[in-house]
Amino acid sequence: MKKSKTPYFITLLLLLLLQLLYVKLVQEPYPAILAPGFGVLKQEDRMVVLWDYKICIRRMGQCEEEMSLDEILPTIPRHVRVAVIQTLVDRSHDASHKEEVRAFLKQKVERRYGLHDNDFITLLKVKLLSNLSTGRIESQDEKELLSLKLRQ
Amino acid sequence: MTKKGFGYLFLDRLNSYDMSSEWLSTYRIGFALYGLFIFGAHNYSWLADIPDLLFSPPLSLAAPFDEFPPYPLLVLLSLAIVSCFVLLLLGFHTIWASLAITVLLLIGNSFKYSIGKIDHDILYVLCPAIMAFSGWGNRYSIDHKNGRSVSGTFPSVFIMALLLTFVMMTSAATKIWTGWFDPDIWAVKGHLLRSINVLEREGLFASQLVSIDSSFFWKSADYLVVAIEGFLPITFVFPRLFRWNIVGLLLFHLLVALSLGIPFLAYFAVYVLYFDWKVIRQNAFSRKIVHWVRRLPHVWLPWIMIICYVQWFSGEFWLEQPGIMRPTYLRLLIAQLNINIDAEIVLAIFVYGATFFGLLSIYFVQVLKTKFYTKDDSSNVHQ
Repeated sequence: MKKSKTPYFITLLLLLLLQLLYVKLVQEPYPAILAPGFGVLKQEDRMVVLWDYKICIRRMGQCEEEMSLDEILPTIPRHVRVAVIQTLVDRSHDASHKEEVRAFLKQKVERRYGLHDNDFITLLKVKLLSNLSTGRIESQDEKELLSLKLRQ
Repeated sequence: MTKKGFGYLFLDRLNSYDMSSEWLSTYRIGFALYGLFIFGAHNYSWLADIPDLLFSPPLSLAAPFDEFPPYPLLVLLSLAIVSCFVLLLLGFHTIWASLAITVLLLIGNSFKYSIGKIDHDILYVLCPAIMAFSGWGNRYSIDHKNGRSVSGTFPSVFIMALLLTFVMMTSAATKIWTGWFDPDIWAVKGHLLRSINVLEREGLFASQLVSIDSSFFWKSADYLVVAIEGFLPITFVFPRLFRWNIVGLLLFHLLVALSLGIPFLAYFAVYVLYFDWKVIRQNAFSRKIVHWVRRLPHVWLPWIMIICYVQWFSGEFWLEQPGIMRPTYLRLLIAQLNINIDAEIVLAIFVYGATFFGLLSIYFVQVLKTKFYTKDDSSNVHQ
């Protein structure tokens, strides 16, 4: 005789709803049983707002060299890099990790471009407005997230 | 309506998810082959190259640690996963191998997702542990030859269906909540533009799609995506419709790979469970594969292990390409072809495309056969 699935159905559904409540109210743990939501990206006047990152090496206030995320995080898969950059920025604002962040970035810059006394590395968050009809980027605006003098 | 009547209409219908040992064991073989040679067993060794500065685990098994594990430990973990998949393929200590795959993947992924991003492949990870007590090792296995089997009364297939439904429901709910149904918003196109301009990830038809400027086209795409995901809670209580909803999901993933360039291969192993196995088992090609695997003698076990270890090490040492997190001979081959498309996307298009059109043709042939058979039969009766 087949066993009823009702107890499994009710118990499991309650557990799933409880864990979803935890995810939404506290934070997403691993493992959590949910799928990527792909919520709507902000859109205004037929433009979609996109956020990107840009890394600059500044000499005398000018952006002399632009580094790609490939150069900063070569071993990390591309789709994960945006999240990793955010971790790096958070760490740079934490006094106990700031020197570590500086050493990490200094090593990357030195290996690729050499290092001058007044070199700064700047991480910019770039707001892009892309036209929904044509797909073209129509404007961009930069906001500084992090600026570190590489040689102390 | 009586209690019995309600039960029949709703919960008792769910018994239709039950599968025989033969079908479950065929699925076990398919799951292990997919996990070894197509999706690939996870390689975590690359985590050793990431500075501990970036170690920022969520609430997970990695949370009590301060840094990534050392390289030898990550290699051991990866090889242990490969070994457990081989044991699962041959059905040797199936229950323990199934549980071990889930536990090892949970450990490895906890560290992998400590760099700030959690991938939502959880059903693939949980699947072996949930299926462990279903009886998927009862046939075509070394366990069967040795007289080891489980009763197979645990409703694993039903539980996986419920989890899959829940997961898709969370995704559809987020979409509806954030405005995918807003007539002024083109949600799919927004994500397409982000894929191209920010993530540098393009599907085969991405550039052609960008030039489409039709509200009808993009709103239809938005509604279709939500519908395919959002119908699962309804079709869940009608297992036959649920299977067709899964075929719809295959098409959905094929289109996502072709447009957004997202190769979401993990859940394919779960979708396979809801194919119409009765029909597929009648197909000559699938019969041949199962026949071949069930005849594998014990002595082949070490040889299959070696083939899989060589595959893993070839990914580790010959291919200096970041992101080869699950080395397979197939990925290595695609990477050597030097085509201008990400190997992962090629693989996703191949897997979802071949299965979607393959399934449709198998079902179609079956429908035709049934129709002609019934006609002949009825004409004989009349004569």
